[in-house]
Amino acid sequence: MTLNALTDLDELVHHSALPPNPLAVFAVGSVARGWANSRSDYDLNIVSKRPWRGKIVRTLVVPLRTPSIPTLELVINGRRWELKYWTDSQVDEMMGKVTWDEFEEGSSSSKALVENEELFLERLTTCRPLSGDEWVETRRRELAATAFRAFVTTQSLAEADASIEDALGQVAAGDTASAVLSAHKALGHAVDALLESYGNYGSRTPKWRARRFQETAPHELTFEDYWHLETMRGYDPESPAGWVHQVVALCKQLALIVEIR
Amino acid sequence: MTVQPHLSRDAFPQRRIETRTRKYRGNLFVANAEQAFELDELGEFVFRLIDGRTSVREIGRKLAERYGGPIEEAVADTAALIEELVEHQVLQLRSDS
Repeated sequence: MTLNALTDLDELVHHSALPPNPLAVFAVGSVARGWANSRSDYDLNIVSKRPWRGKIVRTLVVPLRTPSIPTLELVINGRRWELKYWTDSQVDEMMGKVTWDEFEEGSSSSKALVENEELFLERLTTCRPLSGDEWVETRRRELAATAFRAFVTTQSLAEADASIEDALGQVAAGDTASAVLSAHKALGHAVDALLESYGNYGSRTPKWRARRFQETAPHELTFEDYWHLETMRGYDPESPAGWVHQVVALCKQLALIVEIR
Repeated sequence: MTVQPHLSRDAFPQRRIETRTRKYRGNLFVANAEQAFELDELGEFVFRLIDGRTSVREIGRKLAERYGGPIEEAVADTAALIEELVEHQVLQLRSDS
């Protein structure tokens, strides 16, 4: 799918889906990243000063002072469009949750943001504005000055640690099938942490991990080595624990390498 | 003054499987289940060489090679750090060492 700012904004106006004077309208997700296929949704975030008062199909709940994100779905030329309406003050509030002060105070060990908040901030870094380029650029600079990267990297490392602990406990108990699943999960989190340390986010959408890996091309781990483990090519059904320990070793190695910054 | 630790220079230290590590703003932190410890540059150099196959003496030798100074002093410092991390259950000694 190709973005066409004017045509797409016209469609939004035509469907009465655009607030007056939006600060920014931007495509996010696979379309914005150039990874879309013929079945991909077209996801848009729309930011304005005031809350959206037009038609909606559902409301997402977020832990913010204005706790609702109205959403609207449209089908245009056979493609599903999903629109989320945010306010500028909600964006301020989300930025305020991921400051360095918050990180240093120790909230890094817990989830600072709920999924929809994290998705909004991470997608800001890769979005394609249809309007409000300046607003997007300003917000990107603000985000880069926060501890957002440190928060999400730390969270992925913690998830990896927890899955490693599960895997080792399951191996010790003789439950090797569960251990293999836990180790596989640990691998995903550890690789996410590596990619996040480079500022390539997306741990909430693991289906794009291979794409993100190829895009980042981290020097610490080759795609071939990562893919060998991800696709379990070295897995021996006669010795599942061997594969588990191999994955755990890599995850431990990545935790030593990944820089939280 | 270098403290003379009790740890054998021929021991083979290894990281405990439960040990967690984080590299934060240039500093390496290592943690057991309850407590985290910040390693300085030399401590990090030593920690990264610990693989269960390299002896305390060899790690100390590499430390001296990298940062200079008498080998015996570097080996003693290495042994002191490793002993402390073993006490705090961050490291363990290979059972045959």
